[in-house]
Amino acid sequence: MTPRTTAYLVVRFSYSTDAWDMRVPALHEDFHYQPFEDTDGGPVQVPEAVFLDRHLAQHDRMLRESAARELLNPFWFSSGYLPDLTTVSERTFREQLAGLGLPAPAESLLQAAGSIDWIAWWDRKSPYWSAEQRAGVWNMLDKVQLFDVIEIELE
Amino acid sequence: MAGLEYVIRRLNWRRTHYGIVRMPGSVVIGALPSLEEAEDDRAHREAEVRARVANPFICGPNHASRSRLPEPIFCDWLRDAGIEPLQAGQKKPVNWVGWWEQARVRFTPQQPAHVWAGLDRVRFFEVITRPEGSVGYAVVRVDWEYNDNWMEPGTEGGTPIKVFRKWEKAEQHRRELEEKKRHDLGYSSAEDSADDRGARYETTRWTEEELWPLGSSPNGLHSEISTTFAYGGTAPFYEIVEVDLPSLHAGVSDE
Repeated sequence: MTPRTTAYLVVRFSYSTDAWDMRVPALHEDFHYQPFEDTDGGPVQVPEAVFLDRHLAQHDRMLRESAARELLNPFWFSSGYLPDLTTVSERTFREQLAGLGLPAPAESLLQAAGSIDWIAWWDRKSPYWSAEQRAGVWNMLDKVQLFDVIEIELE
Repeated sequence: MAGLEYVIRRLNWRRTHYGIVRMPGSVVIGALPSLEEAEDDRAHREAEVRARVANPFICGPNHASRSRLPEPIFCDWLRDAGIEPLQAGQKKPVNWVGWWEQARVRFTPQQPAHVWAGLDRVRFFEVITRPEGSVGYAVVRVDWEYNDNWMEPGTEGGTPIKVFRKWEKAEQHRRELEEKKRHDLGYSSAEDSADDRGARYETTRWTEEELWPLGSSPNGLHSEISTTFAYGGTAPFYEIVEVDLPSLHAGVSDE
């Protein structure tokens, strides 16, 4: 008899990589809107690793999240529109940046609409930051999540 | 005690309008018993893809996504090998794609490899070490979406259903689910399955594997002409995705 058990699957969220302005990717979470059955709608997921222990799975998820963050500009998500990326106000966000020892974006990064070009800011400045400072900015963008842990049957 | 195996993984480069971009994730290509064999295999694959990609500066939308070296230091890196980089303007970013096209005709045979080496984020494959057998197989439902013309499977993944320690059992489960889905959708007979008057399911996600990472479309935009389709019940509704199974394989009975 094959043992069946509940396990914890680390999944990566699928993102589409459009580039509407032909310049940088605009990353959008893929979502399944038209399920054949009531239960199969939701975010599109790619399975990565399976664990019997939820804590081990969560630890693995964090490791994968950290590694993935090193590849991406976090402002590629939602075209860098700050309210889509963080639960804090822009003012608080700037204060938190100062707390990380990062100066506010220069005036030259102001766009026509009066908002900051956060994508360009990250590209120009982040290569000179420490790994902790880059991680700190990612942590402030608390609406962006690349991985999750779900329960699944293992046989 | 399990021995080690050396796994070659293809990194998740995706086509965009301007070129390609690396996203998190990878696909297992194969496993070999020695590091030397795996590294040889990786190097062979890397060279083949580099030859097809041709211009390394289409890999990533800007310098930061191609190299950990800040741009001025990357320029010094080029000068170290006798390559004169383009000077950055005051406001405009360096057009590295155009620079490569013009500069490469003057390169010595060694200089292209030096440029690729400085672009240390532009790698297409990697080798990882893992205990033999520390792998599982997830059965995943493809999340088909109707785009007003045909059914699209999305770029990758779907909804994970169940994980198996043995590929054979995963494949058996996938087949059972597949048959049930075809039955539920009314694709019960061979005629129904091959009926090209039925729903069209886009299969470009699978048929363009050999053309990875560039694909068949010159600008990354698929038209109906460059898109491939399966009809009716010949479309895949489930697939198997290999997953890491760290530390689970040891001491766990399969039967």
